[in-house]
Amino acid sequence: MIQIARGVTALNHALFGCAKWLIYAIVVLMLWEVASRYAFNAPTAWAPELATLIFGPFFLMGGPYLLHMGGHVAVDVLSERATGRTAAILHLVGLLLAAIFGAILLWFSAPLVIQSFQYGETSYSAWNPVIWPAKAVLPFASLLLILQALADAVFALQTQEAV
Amino acid sequence: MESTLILIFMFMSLVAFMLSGAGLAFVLGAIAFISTVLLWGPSALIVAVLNTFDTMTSEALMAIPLYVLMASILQKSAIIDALYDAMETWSANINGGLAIGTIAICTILAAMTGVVGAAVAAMGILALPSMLSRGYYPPLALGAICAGGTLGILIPPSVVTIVYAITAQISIGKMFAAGIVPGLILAGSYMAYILIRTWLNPALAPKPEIVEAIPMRVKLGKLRSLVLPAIVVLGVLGSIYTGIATPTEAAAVGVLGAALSALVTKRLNITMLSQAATDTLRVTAMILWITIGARAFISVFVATGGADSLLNFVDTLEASRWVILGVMVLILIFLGLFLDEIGIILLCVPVFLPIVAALDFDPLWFGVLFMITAQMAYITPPFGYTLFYLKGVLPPEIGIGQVYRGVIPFFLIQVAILILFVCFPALVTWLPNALAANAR
Repeated sequence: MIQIARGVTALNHALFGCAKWLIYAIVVLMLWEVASRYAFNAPTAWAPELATLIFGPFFLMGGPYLLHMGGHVAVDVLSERATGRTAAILHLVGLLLAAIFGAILLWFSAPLVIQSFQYGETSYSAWNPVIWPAKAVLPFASLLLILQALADAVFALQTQEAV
Repeated sequence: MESTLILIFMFMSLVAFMLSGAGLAFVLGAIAFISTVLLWGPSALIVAVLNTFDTMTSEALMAIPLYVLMASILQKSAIIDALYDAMETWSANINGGLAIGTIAICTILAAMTGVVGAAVAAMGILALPSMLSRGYYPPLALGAICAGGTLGILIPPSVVTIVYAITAQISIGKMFAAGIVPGLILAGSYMAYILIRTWLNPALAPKPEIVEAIPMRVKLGKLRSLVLPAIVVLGVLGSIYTGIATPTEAAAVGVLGAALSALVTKRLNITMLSQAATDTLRVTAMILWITIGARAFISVFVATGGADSLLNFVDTLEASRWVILGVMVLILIFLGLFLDEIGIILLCVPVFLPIVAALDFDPLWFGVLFMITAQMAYITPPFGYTLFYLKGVLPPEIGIGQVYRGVIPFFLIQVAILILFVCFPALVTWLPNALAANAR
C-alpha cells in the first residue's frame, strides 16, 4: 500500500517537474507574437492560441503534487492548534474533499473530452486546431488529484499507526 | 424555499469545512458540485465543467504565471542586494534613514515583483540587522519592514490586482493604473511618519557617529543598480499604456527583461530558471485551482438567486450607501484576518460588485479600497502573513510582541489613507481615467 502511495507521489512529482517548464514555452510564444506583430508586421494566428492551450495543462498538472506539499490555500486558524487524533482526522477530511472534487470533475469532464475527440472538435479560430488534447488534461489531472489524495491518506494513516 | 435551504446548507458547510483546514479550492468545489446535484440534478454539472474549460484557456489569467515568473527571476538576480547597498549610502545622513530607505526599496520591489513575502523576507535579512546594529528602536524597524512589504499588493504589476480586475471584469491596465497614485501616497505616508517620529525623538534611530564622506561619483555609481529594474518596470507598464501589448504580452516581455537583468548580474543559469519555474507553478496552481472551485461555487450562488436576494436585502435596508460601503469594507477586513486575499476576491467580489454598482460606486475605486484592506490583513496579528515571513528571520533577542507593537502605527496610517480615498475618490480614479482619455 505504502509502496503504491510512494509511486503515485513520485509520479506526480515528476509531472510537476515537467509541467513547470511549460511556462517558458508560453513566454516564448507570447514574445514570438509580439515580435512578429511589430518587427515583421505579420501577426501569427497560432502563437497566442497555442499559448492559451498550454496554459490549462500547465497549472492543472501542478495541482496534485501541490496537494502533497500542502501548498493549497487553507484556513489553518483552528487546524493548526489541533493535535494527535483530531489533527489526523481534520487532515483526512481535507483529503476526502480533494478526492470528491477530483472525482466529480473526472466523472463529468471525461465524457465531454471523449465527445470532443470523436467529433474532432476545433476551436473555430483562424488557426482552428483540434482542442481535445488540451481538454483531456482536465480528467487526467483530476484522476491524479484523487490518487494523490488517497496516497496522502495512506501516509497519514501509516504515521498514525506508528504513534 | 428549497433553494433557500440549499443556500443555507452551502454557507454552513463552507464555514465548517473551511475551518477544518481543508484546501479552499476543494472545499468550494466539492460544496458547489454537491449543491448543484441537489438542486438541479447531475446533468447541470456540465456547466461547471464547461466553466473550467473556459478558465483553462483564459488569456487574461495567463498573465498571472508570467508576472510571477518575472518577479521570481528578478528576485533571484541579486538586484535587491545592489539596491540595498545603494540605499545605505544615500540615506546615511537622514533621520531614520535606514527605515525610510527600507520603505523606498520596498516601493521599488513592489513595482518589480509585487510579491509580499519576497520583499519582507529580503528586508528582514538585509535591512533588519543593519538597523538593529545601528541601535534603531526595534518596533520601528520591524513595522517599517512589514508595512513596506505589503505595498506590492497595490503597486502594479500585482497578481492580486490582476485577479481582482478579471473577477470584476475591469481592464487589467486600468486597474494597474488605479494602484499607482494610492500606492505612492501610502509609501509617502509611511516615510513621512518615520521622518517625523525620528525627528521628534532622534534616539529611536541613531545616526552613525562618524559619517564617512563618500564622493559623489561613488554615490552616483551605486544608482546603476536602479537602472535595470527601472527599464523592466517601465517597459512593462509602458507597453500596456501605449497599447503596444496586452497585459499578458507585456508580462512576457517583462520575463525577457528580467532574464536579461539576470544575465547582466551573472545569475542566469539553468538551476535558477528551474527554481523560478517551480515557484511559478506552485503559485499558479494554487491560484488557478481555487479559481476553478470558486467559479463553481459562485455560479451556484448566482443561479439559486442568492445574489438577487442579497441585493433585495440591501435595498430593503434603506441605509445610506456609505453605511453599506462601510459594512462591506469591515467584512473584507474581518475576512482578511483568516483568509487569503485571492480567496476573498474570488468569493466576495462577485457578491459585492453588484451591490457596489447598485449603490453607484466605481468598481475601480472599490478595488483600491479592497487592496488597502488586504494590506491591513497582511500586517494584522495574529494571522498576518508578513508577521510569519518576518518571524523566520528574527534574531533571538527580539520577540514577536515587538513586531506586533511595531505594526500598530502603520495599521493606523492605512486606516487613515483608506478614509482619505473614501472621501476623495478622485485620488484613485484620476490617473486611470487620464490614461484612458490619452489612449483614445
